[in-house]
Amino acid sequence: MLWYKAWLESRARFIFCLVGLQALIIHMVLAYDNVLIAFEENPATYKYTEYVWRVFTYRIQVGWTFSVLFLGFGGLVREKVLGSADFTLSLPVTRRRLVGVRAALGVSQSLILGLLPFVSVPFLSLVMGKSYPYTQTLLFAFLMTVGGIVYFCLGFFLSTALAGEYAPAAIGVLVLILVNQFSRQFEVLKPFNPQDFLSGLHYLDKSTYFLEGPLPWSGIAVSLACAVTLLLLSVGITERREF
Amino acid sequence: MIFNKPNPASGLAIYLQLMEQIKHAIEVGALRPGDQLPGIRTLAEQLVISPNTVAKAYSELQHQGVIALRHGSGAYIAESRHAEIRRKNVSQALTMMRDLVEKLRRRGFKEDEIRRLFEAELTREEALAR
Amino acid sequence: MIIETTNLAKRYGSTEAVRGLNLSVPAGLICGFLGRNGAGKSTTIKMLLGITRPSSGKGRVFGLPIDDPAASLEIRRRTGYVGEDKRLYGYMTGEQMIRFTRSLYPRWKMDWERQLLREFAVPLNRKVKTYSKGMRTKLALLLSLARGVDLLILDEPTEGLDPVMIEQVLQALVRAAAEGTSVFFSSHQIAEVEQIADHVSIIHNGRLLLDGALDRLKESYRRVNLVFSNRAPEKEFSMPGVKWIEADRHSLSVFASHNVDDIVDRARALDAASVDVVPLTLREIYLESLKEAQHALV
Repeated sequence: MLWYKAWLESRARFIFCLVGLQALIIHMVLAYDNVLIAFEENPATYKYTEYVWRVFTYRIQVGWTFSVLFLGFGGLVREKVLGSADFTLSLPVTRRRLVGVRAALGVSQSLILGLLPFVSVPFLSLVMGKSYPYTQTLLFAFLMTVGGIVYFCLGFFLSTALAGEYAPAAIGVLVLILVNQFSRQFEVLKPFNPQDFLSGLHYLDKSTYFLEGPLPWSGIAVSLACAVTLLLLSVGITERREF
Repeated sequence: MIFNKPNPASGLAIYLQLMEQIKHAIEVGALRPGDQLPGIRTLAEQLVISPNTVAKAYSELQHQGVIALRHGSGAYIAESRHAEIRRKNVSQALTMMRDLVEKLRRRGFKEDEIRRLFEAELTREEALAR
Repeated sequence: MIIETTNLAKRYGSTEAVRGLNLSVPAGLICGFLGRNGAGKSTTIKMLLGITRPSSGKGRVFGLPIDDPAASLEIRRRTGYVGEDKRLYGYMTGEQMIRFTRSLYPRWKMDWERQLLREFAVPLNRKVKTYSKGMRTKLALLLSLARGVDLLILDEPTEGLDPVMIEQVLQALVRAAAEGTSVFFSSHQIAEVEQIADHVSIIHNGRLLLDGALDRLKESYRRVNLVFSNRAPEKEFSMPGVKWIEADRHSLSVFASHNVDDIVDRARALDAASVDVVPLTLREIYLESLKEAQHALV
């Protein structure tokens, strides 16, 4: 029942983010005209696929990134603040298993958070009389979630490494902002901007705003390697920590 | 027998207090030979003391021959030699008493006179002792 | 020995919470672990369960080393624990906590669960975060007692409970012991320890002050009150067994751990006007031993 416990601990956050992201997407599609007008663009001439790409892959991506960062928090260090760490640690389960279950659940939740809202785009578009292909939706969703799972792992890692209720959140948000800013400031770092990477900027067909050609597998591999490293570090830290 | 909760803060160890209670009960007749004592677990829970303490008390009492532990069925008050001797003494005393009272009757003494003689003798003994 | 430590020590920065602790707790008994706040009780218990690692020294539970992760897992399979902090998972209801814990212990005893639910009357449908301290303690105890384990390690198990509940808890501990479970509990309440413990370990400043069977302690510790017509010869009484002497002009109060007969003989040899040997309660043995320990450090 460790999964059940991890689920109960993260349930509120997960549902809140899911509902929030879904609401955001529904709003973005249904308020298409108004959003464009606010951006001083002409709805009649503006390409829908460009709209989807621009607004969704940046706005929703930011929403998703912060959501999964926060999904990563919790765990034994937080339990220490809440007073139940000793109880959990006295159970006949290894610390590795405790961390593993929480990580696995969090990764699953992050993938769902990325997939579900995106997958609803083609359907919502139909409602507005527009069309958007499922294949593209799935490609973008895949790129974002698999390439971006490292954000969840960052949040997860910080929650095991830092003590206190607010430190992981503060540091996590700071890291995200700094990484994004730095890679925009410096020409040399521009190709490595995570936001651009996850949105597939460099692989877009500029006429259709679809992802053409092969996915950036090397980038994804690096990101996944970082993700796995962060999770392994989290296990190691938890196993060695004093409670 | 009704057990009283031992006093943990007393100078006397709890198991000793328990033993005293049982011995006292035997002396006053609240427990008779053949009576079964409560099981160790039952008594421990009832008095809220350690079962090891009850076991120790029972074990000591067995060692002293006051109780007998029958395998599988529990602790029973033993047919002790002490009780036996006492009973023998009591029965002898009764016989002596009967003879004396018979003799006095034959000499013409009535019941209340005999009673007064006994009382006077006992009171005299008491006064001497003081 | 179900619990055994050899020079167990724990240092937090510059503070030595536990130093050179040599515990020996026999199996099948109820052992009371006494000590002041901050004496090192909770730290010791956490080390036994692998929640904290010792700085030095060794420890064994069930003969298994406490600092080996695989062995520690086995220790935790066979141990029921209630910690200092009894907060549990606030977001779970009492019922969920029971189901959760039950799922991790294959030897869970349903009959214990049912009986304790009847006795403790914990509000199962409410979330644990709404519980009072007493309710939390009761639930935490239920969760550890129903596990079907060989050893219970309890840190202040009667904290926050009223006298009626305390008696029920002690009764449950006695019941557990009768079923063969060894009980190791730390407490501030000397009365409770005196009532149910077979064995007592007293920790002070991270070290073991006293350790032994309670009956034996109470049989050998005595206070010897002496009155002399002349000046009380305190110096004549530095002999084995004498732990602490309180002296007045004409009287001595000798706190002795053993050897009382020799002390009495010495007193008579010195023409004591009055010799009075008094048995001691656990509280007195504890407090006097503390006095002696504190004096020794000065």
